[in-house]
Amino acid sequence: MTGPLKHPINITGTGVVAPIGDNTSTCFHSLVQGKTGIGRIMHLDTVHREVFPVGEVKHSNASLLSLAGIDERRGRNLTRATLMAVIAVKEAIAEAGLTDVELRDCALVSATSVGGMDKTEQCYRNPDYTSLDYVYTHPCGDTADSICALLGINGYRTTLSTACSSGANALMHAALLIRNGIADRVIAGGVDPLCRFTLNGFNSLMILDKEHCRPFDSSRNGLNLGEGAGFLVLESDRSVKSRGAKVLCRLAGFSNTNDAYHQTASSPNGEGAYLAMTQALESAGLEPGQIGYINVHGTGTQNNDLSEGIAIRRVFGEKVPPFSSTKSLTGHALGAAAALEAVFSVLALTNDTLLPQIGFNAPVEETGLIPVTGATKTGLSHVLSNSFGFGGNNSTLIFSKQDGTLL
Amino acid sequence: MEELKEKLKVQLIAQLNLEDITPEDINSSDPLFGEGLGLDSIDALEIIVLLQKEYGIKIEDTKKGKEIFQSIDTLAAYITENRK
Amino acid sequence: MELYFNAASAISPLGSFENESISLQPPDRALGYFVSREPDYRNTIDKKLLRRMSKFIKMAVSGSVDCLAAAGLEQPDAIITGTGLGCLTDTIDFLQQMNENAETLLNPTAFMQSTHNTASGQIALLLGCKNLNITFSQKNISFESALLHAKMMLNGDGYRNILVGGIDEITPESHGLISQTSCMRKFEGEYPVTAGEGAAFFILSNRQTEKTLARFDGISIFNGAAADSSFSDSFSRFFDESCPDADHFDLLITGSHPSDEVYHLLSEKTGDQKILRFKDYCGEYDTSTSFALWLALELIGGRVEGSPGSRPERVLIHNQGSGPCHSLLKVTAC
Repeated sequence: MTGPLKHPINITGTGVVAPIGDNTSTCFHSLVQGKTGIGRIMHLDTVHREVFPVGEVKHSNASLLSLAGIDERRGRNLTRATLMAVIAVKEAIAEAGLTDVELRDCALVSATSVGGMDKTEQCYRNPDYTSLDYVYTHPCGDTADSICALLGINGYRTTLSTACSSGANALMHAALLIRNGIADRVIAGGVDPLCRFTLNGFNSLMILDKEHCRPFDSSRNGLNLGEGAGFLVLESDRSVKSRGAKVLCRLAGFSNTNDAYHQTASSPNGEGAYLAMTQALESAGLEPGQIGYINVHGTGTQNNDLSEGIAIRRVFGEKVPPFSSTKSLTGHALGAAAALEAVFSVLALTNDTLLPQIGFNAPVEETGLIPVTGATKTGLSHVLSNSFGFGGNNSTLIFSKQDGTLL
Repeated sequence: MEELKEKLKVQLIAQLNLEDITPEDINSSDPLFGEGLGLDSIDALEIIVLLQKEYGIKIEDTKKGKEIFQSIDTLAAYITENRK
Repeated sequence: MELYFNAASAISPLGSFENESISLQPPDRALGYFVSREPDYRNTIDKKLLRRMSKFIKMAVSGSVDCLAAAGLEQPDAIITGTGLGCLTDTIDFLQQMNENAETLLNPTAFMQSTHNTASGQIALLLGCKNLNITFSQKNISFESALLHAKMMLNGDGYRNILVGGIDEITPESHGLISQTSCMRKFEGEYPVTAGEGAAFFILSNRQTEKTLARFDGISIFNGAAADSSFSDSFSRFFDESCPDADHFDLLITGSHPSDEVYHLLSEKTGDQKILRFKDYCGEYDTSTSFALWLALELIGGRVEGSPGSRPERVLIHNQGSGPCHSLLKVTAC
């Protein structure tokens, strides 16, 4: 509905904590090598430990605390979500080169689906815990408030919670803040911890695979849950010019639509996904043929991959760009997934590299789509990233090189 | 078998919050999904939980549910064959 | 660009739904907290859909349907909601099941409906609305974030009418937990603060129509925790920047309490015009600003019985909650 972005949104920093690495360079190495972060549950206390493989961030909370460089006295009532988020935000800030003074006036837009749920589920009605600390950390907004308090960010903060597309919608809100002159610098992304609540929830929906997930494969049989945090620094032109910041790439287009089909399932014709991709292309002023790589939602469920594949065929026809699901390496990090994949998309773009996925043998019969299975160096100008969620929520982001086609 | 069917009707109404529907409203041969009671895929998952809780029957493949859950008749027949 | 509220609908402890006029009477607090006076949802929602819905979802869907009908709209160009705590009933249900059944044989419905965007998703599903659909959850500025996003979208091309709402529900258990912590602000004595709940929905538009209730003059959000000088100095500066015309308001509706520092600052800033404490009528909850906005529109429209003074034309709304942020909203009769 909107025309091409009149004001480009610059991306000047990225940060990530994921099952495949504690920072962008380790993650990029794992992505290119096809090194998976999915395996046996190590830290989450659950009866399903031996049953479901997950993409766990390879640190206990105590280890995350030290990685985040937070004084133990201040770390007393911090959740896993906050710890992971702080690590990712710090990396993004460092890459962008923001000073403490610049940081103070930044806005922060976070995203999460369960926030402090890992702590809530440990403490709720548990006779061994008398403290009600978890009541403070349960709200989704706690993570954003805690990040701001710990890092000295004093601007507007908010949190998107739209299930598995949350992280993409955080970037979209951030872009509007910049476009409307409400903020010049926004740190935006998402975080979600693994917890029993979501593991059991997805198990009750019978869409967890007991093997490693196989997105876009004909034998796919469900998803593996993951966790992590991804944050990006978004800036206006004015801000970039005034502080001479180095621009990594730009957020060139975005769209959010609703499938309006079912509470949890995607429609057979992928209508919501189709609309999200076409509207994002329109907002970026791009033709489908200009997209060089798609980071698909690709959860590995029967339903998503078929519906998304059909939508991709509808948008791109016979000329589907190289695509892959990095969830084959990280698992599905729910509210953080889109943010992790936004960072991965920026890495693909800035390194001119197609990211491979693992676990693929034979294409889905109905779509015949074959993902990238080996890292490939190639010139990339525009990368598209899909993220879909419960409630029919569909989001698409498009990242472009600074010298790409921008209006 | 008839007793089981009546029991199933009561259990379905309770489990699926079928407000304003009584066991008498459900004809044992009527389709449960789509037309008829208008149940959907989430209800199918709820019925899977119900079968395991109440009858010790485990259904691992959701696709298999479609056959079994066609009507109260098919559901009762499946339970009679498989209950422990 | 000028923006307008063209319709509003609320389900609240004040019994605001489906009533021609409302009376400003404090709700019943026999439970120790305010609960919404719920309408017969079967008038607005299909029975088949109702069976799974928690109070949270029912209030949201019913409020939305009513709001769209009042605006004479079939579909909005976007659906944007805010909620501080989301679907508590379903969340607590699933947590309890996990505890009681040792993580086995869990019912999927509660989990599926526990996500914060369940309400906005259900509204889209009911309307068949494929447009933008997002949900904010930032404690006491969840609704404000939703309103800000709607405002920014309407500044762009191609959008006319956006459905914006705030929803929070209270359960006996959530009240029990929250009231034991400082998440629930406590004041003893003459003006007790009671927990509450509600849902309020609005059509925000960049077109004035014959149905227009008021003009939306803006929204500002202030981070109180970040006050680098004294809080009162920072808040004063924020207030003066957001509201240079503070002495031109007919009514201030605030969620602050007479024992809050801010309450006195506000009364000084806005002169001796009336102050209405809206939480006396809806209770304390994260998205209570949506109730305050609804009440402001009702007061401007002269639909409130027993309201003090004359019908206001310019209303300023202030809110604060357990989080660090304060918000200011302005609406004007047109």
